[in-house]
Amino acid sequence: MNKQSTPLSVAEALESLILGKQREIKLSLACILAGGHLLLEDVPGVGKTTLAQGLAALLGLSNSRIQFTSDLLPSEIVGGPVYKRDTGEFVIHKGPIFTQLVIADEINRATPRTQSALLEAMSERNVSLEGQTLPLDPCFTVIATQNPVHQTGTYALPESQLDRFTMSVSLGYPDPHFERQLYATQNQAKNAQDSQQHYHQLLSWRHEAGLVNCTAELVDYLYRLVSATRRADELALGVSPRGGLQWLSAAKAWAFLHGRDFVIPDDIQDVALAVTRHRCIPRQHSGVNMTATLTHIFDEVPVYS
Amino acid sequence: MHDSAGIFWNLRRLTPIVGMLVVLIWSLAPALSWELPLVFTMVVGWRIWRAWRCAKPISRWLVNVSVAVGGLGWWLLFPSKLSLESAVGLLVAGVTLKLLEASQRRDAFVLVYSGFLLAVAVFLFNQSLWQSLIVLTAIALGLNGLHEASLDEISTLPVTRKLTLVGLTVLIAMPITITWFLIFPRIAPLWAIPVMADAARMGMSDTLRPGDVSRLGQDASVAFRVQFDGDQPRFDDLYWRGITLGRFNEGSWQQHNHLKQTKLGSPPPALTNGIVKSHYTVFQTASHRPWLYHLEPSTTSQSNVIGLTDGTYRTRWPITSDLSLSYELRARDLTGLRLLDNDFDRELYFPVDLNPRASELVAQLMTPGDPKTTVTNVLKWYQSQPFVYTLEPSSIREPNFVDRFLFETQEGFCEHFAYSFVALMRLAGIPARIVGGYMGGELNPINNTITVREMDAHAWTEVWIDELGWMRVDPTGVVAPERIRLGSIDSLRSSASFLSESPLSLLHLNDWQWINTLRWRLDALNYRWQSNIMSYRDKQQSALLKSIIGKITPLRILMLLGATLLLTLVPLMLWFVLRGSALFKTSQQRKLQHIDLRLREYGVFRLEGETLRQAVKRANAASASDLATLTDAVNAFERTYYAKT
Repeated sequence: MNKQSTPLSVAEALESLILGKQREIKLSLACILAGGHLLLEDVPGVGKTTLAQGLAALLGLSNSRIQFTSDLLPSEIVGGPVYKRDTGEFVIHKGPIFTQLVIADEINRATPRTQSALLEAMSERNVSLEGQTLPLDPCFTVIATQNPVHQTGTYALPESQLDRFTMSVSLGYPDPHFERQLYATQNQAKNAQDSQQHYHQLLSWRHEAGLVNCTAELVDYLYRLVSATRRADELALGVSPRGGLQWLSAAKAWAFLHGRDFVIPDDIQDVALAVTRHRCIPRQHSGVNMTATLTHIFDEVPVYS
Repeated sequence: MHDSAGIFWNLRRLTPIVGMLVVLIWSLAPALSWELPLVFTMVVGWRIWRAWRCAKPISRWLVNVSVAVGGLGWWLLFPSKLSLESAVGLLVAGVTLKLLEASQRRDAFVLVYSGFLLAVAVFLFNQSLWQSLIVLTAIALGLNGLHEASLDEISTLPVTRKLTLVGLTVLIAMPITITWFLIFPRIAPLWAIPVMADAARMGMSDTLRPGDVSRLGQDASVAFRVQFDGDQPRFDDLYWRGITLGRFNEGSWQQHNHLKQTKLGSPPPALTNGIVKSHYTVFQTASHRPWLYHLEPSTTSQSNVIGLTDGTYRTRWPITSDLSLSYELRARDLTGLRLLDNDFDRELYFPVDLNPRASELVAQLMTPGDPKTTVTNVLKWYQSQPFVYTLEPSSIREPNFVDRFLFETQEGFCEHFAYSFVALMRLAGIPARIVGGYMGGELNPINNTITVREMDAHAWTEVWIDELGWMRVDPTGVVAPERIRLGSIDSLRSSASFLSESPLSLLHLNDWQWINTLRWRLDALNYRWQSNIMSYRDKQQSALLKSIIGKITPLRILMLLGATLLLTLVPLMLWFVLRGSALFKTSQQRKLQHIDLRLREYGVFRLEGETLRQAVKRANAASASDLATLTDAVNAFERTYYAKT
């Protein structure tokens, strides 16, 4: 990896790890560039963890991985006071959350109490321990993976918690062509080599992505899309103002990823589903294809006024 | 599942429509019965409650039951099914039921359009300026309701902007409205839809039974207004004749049957041959009676007016809308006076044996062969007796009314005196008849018109004297001269029942000069409205139309209508077309249109929700170089309008 790396080159490097998932990789990267947290929703074994670790490695972020289980305690995430026998006093032990990138595997297996410990840290970007407020790393990002909710022994994340993830991305099974290729190489697990990249690069990219221009006209288009989800008969809950804000940053990050310093309508549309799908609740609870519903709603909104 | 965001479940959105209907239906209440508006108001309250509770729409079977109940109620409320009232009542009942079941946006439109029909119906009964302003308010509410109903959510526009929208709608409709007003045929029979008998409660009736006129003294509503062109007669000469009652039938006085004809006749020459003293115009409000009130002797050249042999005038149809009539007031001409034998006998009939004491009195007072002296003697006798003028006399139901009144109760008002006086005259062999009409009126000093109210209703008598013809004799004037000298307002106000049926009338505050002036000013304004707008018909219509289009031919009227439509709609359509054209577009919209047009060359019609890049991707039929130019154009568009400036 040469020193003059661009976000796009990071994406390309990731594509060699997970074959045929160019779009999902870009979305994940854009999500992190937008300073948001990422939710990977998928069945086991399609490369969620690989993607998360690859992102950490390529962006040069320190990372820790927490496997969520039903007996996981909040203190095992954020840490807590520990008695030191030699000094005879309590010291605060910082949990695995004090790192740059947290990979929270199968987040919906833990109890709601444990989930909320993580999710609170996500929105506040600091942790209160023993009356002390400890700030988290400026690069602090959570990539949570989640198995589809209807599996047994899971606790579905409530809407208020889901709203804190900027994007939800679903990798899905690879294309047959790539899956065969995968088998042929006998899963010579390509682990990402630690890049030379320093995490400061990510911070400066985030700063630049935030400076991407979005005209008032496009902000209006974004607003019309958001309000369309609130008006739609098919949806019981539409996109929140927080969702709208994150949508805007995601669109800016998407434009930045593609080497532009201004947002075009396509940017807003490209990230639309990833930003909105996990935030909206259908009116009927079964047999709803959320992707199709949202696509239909967005298609009705005129792009140019 | 009902649409909980719908117009009928949001009080703020519901208000204008319901407000319009409430105003209009209560405006109709005086003409109809009070039951229908009350039921409607109950339904409104119920709707508001349902909206507040976000309750579900009414179930189908309940609607059916309500329709049945409503239909039955209408059937019972209106005994005559073919009257104007019953038709309007049916409309009101329909609107009420519609409001009951309304749930969709479509229903809101139906309600507002029915509201416009109700507005027209209001004018069938009342055309005063105030009513017009109220209807205008209702229409503004309705137009706002239409606007509200066409939106998906609560209108966030400020009130001024809403008013502007309503104003614009009215403005667009104005030219064609004025043209229709000018050219719409004023055909009398069209308006003369039968009216329920009991609705025609105002004014005189064609039967005088003691007690009938009494209610009139309590009603301040305007019967007619008069404008004199030239000298005004003295106040105590203002006897507005309407109808003569000469047929005595079972204790009551009625109009002779031969006077009920509707063939064009002519009044006796004595009334029409005199020289013209002045002109005057009477603006009559809808009385639902055919009688025209005028001074005697007057002539009119108005078409459709039927002159009768008793010197009164009538229209062919009952007057159901405001009407203006011009008369010439003449001097009496005494040449060739003659009462036909037929009429002589008719005006003499009175049963001799009913009132023995009255017959006795007549025998004492009459001077045979000298009717003039007899009249004077009888009037002197009235003066000598302690008669009391009151609007609430003790009721006399016996057939010997004349005896009971003259010698026992001795209290009553105009019709009691007229009734007994005519009876005495006939017993003395002098032809006599009762005249029903109005006496006096109030002079408005602002515009010099005389306003005659229902409480000015009066009954007096006429006696036939050979050389003088039918002479007016008012026995009330002998008994209660102040009633004649001062008019009804000043002479009756001390009475307890004065204006008891008009509790809100400003006449109650007659003592305060500024209120009087205010009342006169309002009245003058109303008069202008009535005389210029509401009485625009026949003559005025043809005169005005002639001045606009020269000759009145169907073709020219059509051309006037067409021209109005063109002048209104063409600029409107031009504006709509131009608004979408390059002239009114921003440079961005023009560029976008340009790229869209080029996309269409490759068979790609960009959808509303599609970006330019997506549309270009679909243009796969294009050659590589064409695609490149398209992409370049899109890139340029994006750089121009989205990049940092």
